[in-house]
This record gives sequence, C-alpha cells and structure tokens, in this order.
Amino acid sequence: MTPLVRVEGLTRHFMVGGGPFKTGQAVLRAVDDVSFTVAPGETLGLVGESGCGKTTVGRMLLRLIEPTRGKIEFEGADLMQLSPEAMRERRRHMQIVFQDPYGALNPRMKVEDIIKEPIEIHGTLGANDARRRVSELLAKVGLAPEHGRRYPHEFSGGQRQRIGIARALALSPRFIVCDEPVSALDVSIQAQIVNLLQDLQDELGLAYLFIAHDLGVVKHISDRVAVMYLGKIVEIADKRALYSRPLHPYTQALIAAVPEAKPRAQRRKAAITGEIPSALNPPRGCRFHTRCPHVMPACREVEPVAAEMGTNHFVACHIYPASGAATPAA
Amino acid sequence: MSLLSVRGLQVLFGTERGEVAAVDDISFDLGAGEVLGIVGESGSGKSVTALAIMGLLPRPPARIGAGTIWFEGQNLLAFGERDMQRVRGPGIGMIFQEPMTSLNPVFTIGDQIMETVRVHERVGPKAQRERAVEMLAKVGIALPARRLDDYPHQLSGGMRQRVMIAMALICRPKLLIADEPTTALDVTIQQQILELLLDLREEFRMAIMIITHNMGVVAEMADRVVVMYAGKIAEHAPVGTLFAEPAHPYTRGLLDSIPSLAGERERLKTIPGTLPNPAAMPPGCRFEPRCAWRIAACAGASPPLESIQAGHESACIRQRELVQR
Amino acid sequence: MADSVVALDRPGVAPEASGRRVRWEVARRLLRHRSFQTGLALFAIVIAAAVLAPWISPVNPNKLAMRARFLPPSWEHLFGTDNFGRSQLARVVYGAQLSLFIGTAVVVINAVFGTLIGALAGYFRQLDNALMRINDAIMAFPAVLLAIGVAAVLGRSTPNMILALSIVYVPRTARIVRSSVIVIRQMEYVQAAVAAGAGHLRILRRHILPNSMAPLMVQLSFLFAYAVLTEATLSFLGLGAEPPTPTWGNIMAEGRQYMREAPWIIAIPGAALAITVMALNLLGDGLRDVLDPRLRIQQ
Repeated sequence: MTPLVRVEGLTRHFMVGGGPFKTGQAVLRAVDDVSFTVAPGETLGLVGESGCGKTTVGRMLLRLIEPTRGKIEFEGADLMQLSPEAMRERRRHMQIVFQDPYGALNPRMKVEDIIKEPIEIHGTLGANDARRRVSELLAKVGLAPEHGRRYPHEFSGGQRQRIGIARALALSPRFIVCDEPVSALDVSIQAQIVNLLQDLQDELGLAYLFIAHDLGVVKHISDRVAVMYLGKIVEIADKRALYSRPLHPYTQALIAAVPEAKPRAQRRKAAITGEIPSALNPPRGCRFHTRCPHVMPACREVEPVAAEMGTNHFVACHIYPASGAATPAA
Repeated sequence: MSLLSVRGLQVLFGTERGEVAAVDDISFDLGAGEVLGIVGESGSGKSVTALAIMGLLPRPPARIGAGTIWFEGQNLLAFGERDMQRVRGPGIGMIFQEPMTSLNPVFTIGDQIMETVRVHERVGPKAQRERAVEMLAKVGIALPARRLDDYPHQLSGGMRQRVMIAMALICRPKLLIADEPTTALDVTIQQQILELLLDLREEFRMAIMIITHNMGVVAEMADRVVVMYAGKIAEHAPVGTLFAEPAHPYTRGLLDSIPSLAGERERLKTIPGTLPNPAAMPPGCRFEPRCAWRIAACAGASPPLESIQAGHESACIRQRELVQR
Repeated sequence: MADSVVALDRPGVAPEASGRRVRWEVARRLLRHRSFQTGLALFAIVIAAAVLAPWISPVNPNKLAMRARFLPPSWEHLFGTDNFGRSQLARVVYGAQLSLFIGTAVVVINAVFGTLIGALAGYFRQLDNALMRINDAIMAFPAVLLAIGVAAVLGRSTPNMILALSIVYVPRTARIVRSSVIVIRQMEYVQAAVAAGAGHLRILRRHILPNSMAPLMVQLSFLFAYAVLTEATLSFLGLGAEPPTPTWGNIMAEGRQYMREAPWIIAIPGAALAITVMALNLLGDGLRDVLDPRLRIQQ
C-alpha cells in the first residue's frame, strides 16, 4: 500500500549567532536526515526530549518551516517540487493541531470564524453550507452550535483545543500533525482529548503524526512509534514491539525513566546520567554515545545507520551488527 | 508532634467580582523526614497552599481568610516579614517549576548561592564559597568550582534545577517544598532530579512536600498523599492505599484517565466536564457536577473529610461503597 | 458515562460576555480607570473649548483694539488682552483649534504610514533591513531639530508643519508596529492560517494587524501630546503658522517680551499646553494599563 506520507532524508539546519555580516555563525542541526512513512489511517507517534527536533519535523511536513534538504511526499507528490498554487491546494489535505491552546486561536475572531476560515480561503462552500459545516464540526468535537458565537478567551484550555481540532477538520484533511496536543492540558482533560482524537480517526479515517514527550499517551494512541534524539531517529517500530522490546539504549532509558503510577517497595535507579547535549555541537559518531551505558569505541567515531531488526523494526545503533556500516561521522 | 501542621487554611483572592477562595478549609500534617505529595490539577489550590506556607503570597490581592500554619510549634501566619525571612532558608526551603525564571539572569549562580548563605549565617566570603562548592557537588554538578562563575543561561534546565535545589538546601532546612519541580524537565532528567531529592532527603533527614499533577511522580516519591480539588481536600491517604483503594471519585477518575505504559485500553476513562468557576462554586460537593457516583445528597452540602480507616480520609459520602468495588 | 461535554461545559464557561466583543470589555475597563477618566475629562474640556470657540468668544481673535492693550484678566476679558489689545481668550481658544487639528492630522498620518511601514518591515523579512536602516537614519535626528530643518526648508504653513512633524514621528511609530508584528507573526494562530493556505494579505488583514493595534494605540495618544508640544515649540521659534493666526506657540513667543508687564499673555497658553499634554499622557497611561496586560492574560 502506498504510504500517505513519505519522508526521506529530511534535514533542517539553523544558522545561529554570528556577527553583523553573518560571520562566525554556528550550525544548529535541528533535524538531520530523518526518514519515515505514515500509512493512510495510521498514527505514527514521534517522541523525544528537548532538542530532538520532533516539533521541527512536524512543521516541515506542512512546510511551515522549509526543509534545508530532503524529500516530503504526500500521496506520491513531492511537496518540495510543487508550485505555490499546487502547494496551496495540497494544504487542504494536511492540517495541524498545536500544543498551546492559548496561542493557537486568534483572540479577536469568533470561534465560528476561526473554524470557517480554511473553508473561506479555499472557497469550497457557500455561506449557508459553510455555516452548517461549522455547526457540524462543533458538534463533532463535543461543543454546541452557540459556542461558535463566542470568543476564545471564554473557553477553558481543553475546549480551546477542541476548537483547534475543529478548525483542522474543516477541509476534511487526510492527515493531521498533532504537535503535543495534550501536553498543556490537565490530566483529566488530556484523556478527553485523546479519546476525541481517536474517535475522529476511527470515524474519518485520518492519519496522524502524533508528536509528544509523554510516552504513555503516545503508546495509547499510536500504531507505530519513532524515537528521536538530537535530530535523528534512533528507533522506529510497532508500538507493541517498541515498548515490550526496546532495542536502542536511549529508548530503553526513556521508557525506564517514566515514573509509573504504581508505588513500589524499592526505589528505581536512574537509567542514564548526564545532560542532553546541545544540538549546536552534537557528539561525534553516535549522538547518544556520551550518555550510553553500552558505549563502544566505534560509537565515538562512526554514526550508526538504521537497520531492520525484525518486521518493520528499525534501529540505528552499533550494538546491532547489521547497522554497523561504516559511515564516517560528517 | 508534626513538623508542619496546617489547620483550616483559607486563602482568599480579591477579584473584580468580589473575593474568591482559592483554598478553602484545608488541614494536613507533615512529620519530620516524611514525603507528602500534594496532587491536583490547575485550580486545585496546591500552589497557593505552598506559597501560603512560605509567606510568599502577594497580599493584596491575596488574603488569609482563616486557619493556622504550625511549623515547629509556631504559627507562621502570625509572623511578620522579618520573622518569615528567618524561617525561609534554615527552616523551610522551596524550589519552583521554572528554574529559568527563579534564577536571576544577571548574577552568576555562585553569587546567588552564596547570597543565601550570607543572609542566614555569619561567615566570610571564603567560607561561603566553600559551602557553595560543597553543595553543588552534593547536587551532582560536575566541576562545581568552575560552575560557580557561570550564568543561569549557560546551564541546561536540569542543571538549573539542581542549582535551585542547592540554594534551597544550603542552610539545611527541615522542610523542602517542591512545587512541580520536574514538570518543565525532560523525562530522563526528571528521573535524575527525583532520585537526587530522595537521596538528599535521606542524607539531610528532611521532610519534603512535593506538589505535582503527575501521579507517577507521586507514586515514586511520596509516603502520603493529599488530593486537592477546587480548593478543598478530596482525599488523604498513605501512598499505597491511595493507589490501591482510592476512596474518592476524583482520585479514581485521575487514576483511570492516565494512559500507562503497562496496560492497554481501547478508550481512556475520562472525567467529563471541566473545573468549576471559582466565583461560582457548586453549592454542595464541588466535584458533584462531574461525578459518576453522585446522588441527590451530594448537591446539598459540601461533604466533610471522614476517616475510612486510620490515616485514610475522604470527602465523599459514598466512600465506603467506592472502596468495596 | 458519555462524554457529554456540552451540558457540563456550561457551568465552566465564564458567566460573563457570551459573545460580547473584546472591544466592549476594554471600553468598560478603560472608563473605570482613574487616570483615563481624568485625562478624558481634561481633554474633553480642551476639545470643547476648541469646537465651541465661536460661542465662547464671539470676538475676532485678530481684532485690534489699541485702547484695550495689556488688560489683565477680568470679567470682561477673561484671559486679558495682549499688546495689540486682542482678546487673549479668543486667541487661546482659536489657537486650540489649530493645535488640535495639527495633532489629529499627525496622529492620522502616523497611524496610516507608521502601520504600513512597520507592518511591511515586520512581516516581510527581506524588506526589514532596508526599511529599518532608513527608519533609524531619520530617527537619529533629534525630533525638534529635524522638524525645524524641514519647516525651515519648506516654509511656514500649517500643512508643512504637519508634514515636518509626521516625518519626525512616523519612524518611531513604525518601529512600534514592527515589534508588535514580529511577535504576532510567530503566534500559532498565524501558523494555522498559513497551514490552511492563507495568503499574505489575508494574514495581515485578519490576524496580524488587528492584534498589533494595542501598542500602537498607546503610542498614538502620547504622540498627540508630542505633536502639540513640538508644534508649539516650532511656533515659538517662529516656524509655525504666520501671524496673526494664533497658535499657542506664537502667542507665547510674542508674550515673551512682555513677561514682566503682562505675564498672562505667556502664562495662559502655556498652561493650556501643559493641561493638554497632561491630559493626553493620562489617556495614554490608561490605555497602556488596560490594553497591555489584559491582552497577555488569556486565562
């Protein structure tokens, strides 16, 4: 089955600092050579800690940030090759839900106008039909039609997130990038929104790229999960495989670090030590080697390449011999 | 006698629409060396409670409506600012959620740590510096002597939080209040910080009051737990009991709505609705509008905390039934 | 239990403002702000004086009456007379008309051009550098000096005065708008609009400009004060409207020589100027207090 989204070699570098004439700038390798696919109706979870680049990846898929290099294919068409008009047309099929419910809605627009805007931009429906569609969308996300006449500041965080989802659904997209959609919400509200997203997926056949740092939520909603560290994907697998048999030491540490809601008799020991290095100056070779409990000499020199270990389970680590191919560090 | 004893605390905030109680009649104890977890979501009043204990509430608009806070046998609410300053540091230390805004960006961390020592103890600069280095080493910062001259922006989030912990503990307080200390940190760093707190608690024999919305953190850290909702205490129990036999629908709801790494569920069980407006609280039990267990009596009056067994209290009239299911 | 958010959300939603526009909220708060009230009252008096000039003082401000020279304020001549016997009341009140007209014109021009330049610079990064360099070059000149220069070159007249003041102040206004635009441009609701396929014009019109207006409004109220003050300064220096047209500045200029014999000639327009500037500052303070923090507190 052809994937809905196919990303290959996606890279984004930022130039930071430097003098008045752009001298002496450093390169921030926010995203480095990332590749993955998302099948129609599937949820790919994307996890990682600060500086891993997951948010940048999400934005690049919609070309809200332009990639430095790489290919982004949506339904077979390379987004980077499209003309501005064609790109605009494509945008109908791919949307985004943001993390911050307070920054994601224009405070000066009524809710119904916010939801209606994508429809207006593309001129897909007449005024009456558009109004009906807005009511329909509000109902779909669990709000009432009269809520449309209010302003964002009159709603709670969870409700605003619902409005953001309604807006994303306005043009019946096939793919939605969910950029930490529940991280800013209270626990009890998170569950409501996660359920809502799942229900919508079942009903509308949506595919999601679900970006989050909360491993529990990601596990719940995803079909497959990709783990990022300092701009690179270190492991991708089916969620069950990833959580029951994590291969990459970072994935193992990440899973072990999550505090479990179950008191235990003995205290756990911290899985890994050390700080996350800066993306301005990532470690040579495998970027994780400075904190890896299984570090070997090769790790310090050579960047590991992703290799398949089992069905659809990819790892980029020297422990797994197939991936020890000699790609000298850039 | 407990180290800290809060009785009937009520904190009021002046708003455009009159005074609103952020915290309404809460009471709890904390023994020496114990870890108490205070759990709640936004609007529960947990942070306000911590600030009230430290005397850090801006008054106005805040006002202590009622209650007492006993620390080592003295009522902190009766203290003036000077007396409170003497308590902060050697008596009670506090760390906050956002280490970046808690540290002054224009001073080195060395300056800031040494300042804490300077304020409370009469020692010279050399001794202050030594204490600072010693403390930084204790909180796990490598090359502490060199780090003293760094500015906050040069450190990562995890390191800044360690510095905050160093500052809070340098005068060896008996109680550390940690207000969402790891919420802004990555999960691997969070684990390190939590472990550090437990290590220090053993070494310094101090009590910790940890405020969080993360049930996992509570399970890891706390000996006893207080669950707050909309300014009141919903439930109060030892940690094992709370997770095994929650006696309040809100606690149950919280536990049920967490997607855990272990179990698999088709749909998360949720708590419907949202927090009530503090200016328009429901007349009866504050959780009643969202409660799956509500009966007619619940809307009548706010249920008091009742003991279900030793050390386990719940503010729900149906608590016994809940525990049986 | 069903996820019936709708019914349960009603109690949670703020009981006030069901669809009431943000604007009315702001207006309500403004009218309750003490500084704003004072400023508004004073400014209203000044405006009233200017508008009702023909009724307040039916006398022609330029009518000479050599027999009534240097009369101190009295019931007959409320503000006294000057060296030509002209009614000071008439002159000051008609002078108010001119000052307010100039102030308004400068504010309007600033609003239009300052917003245009600031928005373009803030939104299109390629234009930013070029525009801001020119902007900063103009801003480097001290305001009054620049105004003197322009007025001296172009000649004395009210339109030229307005032009001079505009050239001086538009760069400052542009900077303020630009800062706002740069912040708003990063907001996620703008990103959402881009993701939905919105073009630049729509984004500017619907998202960026409406949300950038708050700092601009505060600036414009202070700007009115600067304009009136600078105009008075220029008139005082002889670069304003040609006499005998009264402006507060040139009334004060003429009155300077007679400060000892007839201090009211210079004092009264000076007081009028001070009151107007203070009123506008209070208005601006009120606007700033009400607009800025409110807009940031979303919860």
